Amino acid sequence: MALYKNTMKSFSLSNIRERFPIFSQHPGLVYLDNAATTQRVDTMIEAMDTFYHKQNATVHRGVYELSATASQSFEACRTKVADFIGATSPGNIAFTKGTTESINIVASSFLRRKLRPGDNVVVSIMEHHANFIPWQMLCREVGAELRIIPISGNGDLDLGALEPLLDNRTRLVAITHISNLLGTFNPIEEVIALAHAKGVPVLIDAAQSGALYPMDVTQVDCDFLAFSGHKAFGPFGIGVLYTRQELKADIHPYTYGGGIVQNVMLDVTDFKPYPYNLDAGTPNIPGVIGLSAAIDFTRDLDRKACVEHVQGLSHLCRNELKRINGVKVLGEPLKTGGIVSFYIDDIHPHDVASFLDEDHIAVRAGVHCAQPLLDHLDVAATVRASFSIYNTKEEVEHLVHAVKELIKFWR
Amino acid sequence: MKKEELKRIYRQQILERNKNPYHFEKREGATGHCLANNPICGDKFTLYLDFNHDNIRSAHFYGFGCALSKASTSILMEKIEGMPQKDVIAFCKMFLAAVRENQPIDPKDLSLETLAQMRDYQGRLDCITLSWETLLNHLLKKEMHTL
Repeated sequence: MALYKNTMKSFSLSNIRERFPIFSQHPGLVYLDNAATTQRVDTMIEAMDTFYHKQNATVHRGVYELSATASQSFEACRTKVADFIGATSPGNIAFTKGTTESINIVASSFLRRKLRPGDNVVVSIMEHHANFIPWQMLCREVGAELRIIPISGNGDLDLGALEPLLDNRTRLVAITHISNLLGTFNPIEEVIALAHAKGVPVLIDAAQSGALYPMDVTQVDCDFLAFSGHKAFGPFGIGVLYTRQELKADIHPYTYGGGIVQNVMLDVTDFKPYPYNLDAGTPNIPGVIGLSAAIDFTRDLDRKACVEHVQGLSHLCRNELKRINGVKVLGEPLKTGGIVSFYIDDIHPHDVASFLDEDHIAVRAGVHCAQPLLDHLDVAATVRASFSIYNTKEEVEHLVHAVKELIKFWR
Repeated sequence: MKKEELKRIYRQQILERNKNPYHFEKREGATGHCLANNPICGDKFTLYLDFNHDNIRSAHFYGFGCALSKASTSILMEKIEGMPQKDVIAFCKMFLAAVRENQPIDPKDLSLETLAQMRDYQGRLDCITLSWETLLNHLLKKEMHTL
C-alpha cells in the first residue's frame, strides 16, 4: 500500500519506517505507544538541527538578517498550520507548549472572565485529564457546574444526552475528537451543531487526531481546536491553539512578560492582539521549525491510506485480543482511531507491560490520564496499544503472541 | 534485564506473594492507616497498622496494584509486625536506600534481596517502593506530632 500521495517519492508501507531514525537504532522495537507520543520523522530532526547549526536567532526582536530569517520561518509555519487545519487566517493560530496548555489558555484567558456562579461547562466522561481538570477547577473556583456527557455501553458518546445538558447558562462545550483510552471517534459535527443551536462555543481536543485525521476547522465550524506537535511526528514542547476569528478579541494574555506588549506605562500596559498576546518571553522557535517540517511530511502522506492502515491494525488487534481467554478489550465503538485498551484477568497492566517490554514491545499501562472514564467503567487500569503509520500486521501478531505466552506463564 | 531473569524473579517471590499476600484484608478498626496511591498507574493500597504503644502489633493491607507492588507491600507488612516504630523507620530507609542508591541489603533475607534485584528495572521502581515510602512518610509525620 502506498502511503505517499506523490508516488515519485515511493514511500510505502514497507519502507516508511526508514523515515523514522529510532527504528534503525532499535531494529526490533515494536512501538505501540503512539497515543502518548509518536516517533520523530527524519526531516523534522534535520530541520531543527539545521536551525540550531545555521539559523539560530530569536524572532520578532532583532533587525539583523539571522533574526529576520528566523522570524520569517516562524511566521511561515503559522500560515502552514492555518492551511493544514483549514483556518481562514494565520492570525487564528497561536503556538503553545502543547494541547494541555492550549486548553488551559482557553480556560484561564477566555472563559474565566465570562463564567459566573450558576453557569455551566459541558465535557464528556471520556476526556483526558487535560480537557477535564481545567474546567473542573474553573467551575469550582467560580461556583459553576461541570456537566458530563455520558457514553453508551459500547463506548460511543451518548449524543442524545447532550441536548438536555445545554441551556442558556452553558458557556462552553469541551470535547475530545478521539478518546485516548477507548479510541472512540466522537461525532464532532453533531456536537458542534447542537451546541451552536444554543449559542454555545465548542473546544475540540484534537491531541489524538491532529496528525492523521485532519479536521477542517472552517468546515466543522468549531470555535477552538488544540493539538500537540509530538503526537504528530513533530517535536516535544510545541502545540497549537486555533481560535475562531470572532472570539480572538476575547482571548487575553496567559502569561505576562516581554514580546506581547504594545505600550508599557507605569500604571498600565497595552497588549498586542491574539495570537501575539500569548507569546510572552522567547517562544519555542526550533519547536515551531520542527512542527513545520512534521506538517510537510504529514501533508505529503496519503492520509486516507494511512487511516485505513492504522484502523486496520487496531481492528485486527482488537479482534485477536478478544479471542484470548481472560482478555477483556474495552469498548466497541462504532468508529475508532488506532487505539486499543485491554486488561487481562488477574494480571495487572504494569506486569503485562513489563513482560511485553522484554519482547521489545512498548505499550502504555496505567490510567492514561483518564481516571473519570476508568472509574465509570469500574476498571482500575488498562494496557493500551496505539498504532501509527509505521506499525505492521506482524507487530500486532507479535503482541498477541506475547500476551498469550504471558498468560501461560502466569497461570 | 533478560526475560528469563524477570521470570525467575517473579517465580521466586512475586507470583506466590501476589496470589497469597500476607494479611491482605481490610481492618477498619486499626489504630493507624495510610493510603499508598500511585495516580499514574492506578495502584492503591490502604495500609492498616495496629499500634501497641510504639510497637506495631499487626499490619494489614488491602487494595489494587500490580503483582510487584502487592508482593512488596506483603513483604513489608510481614516484616514490620512486632517492630518498634523507630526500627520500622530505619528498616524502610534501609530498603529504600538499597533500591534507589544500590546500598547493601542483608543477603540472607531472600525476600528483600529478590525485591531489591528489581531495582535494575527502572520502570518498576515506583511499584516496589510505593508502600515503603508511604509508610515511612506516615511514621515520620506521626513521630513529629508526638514530639
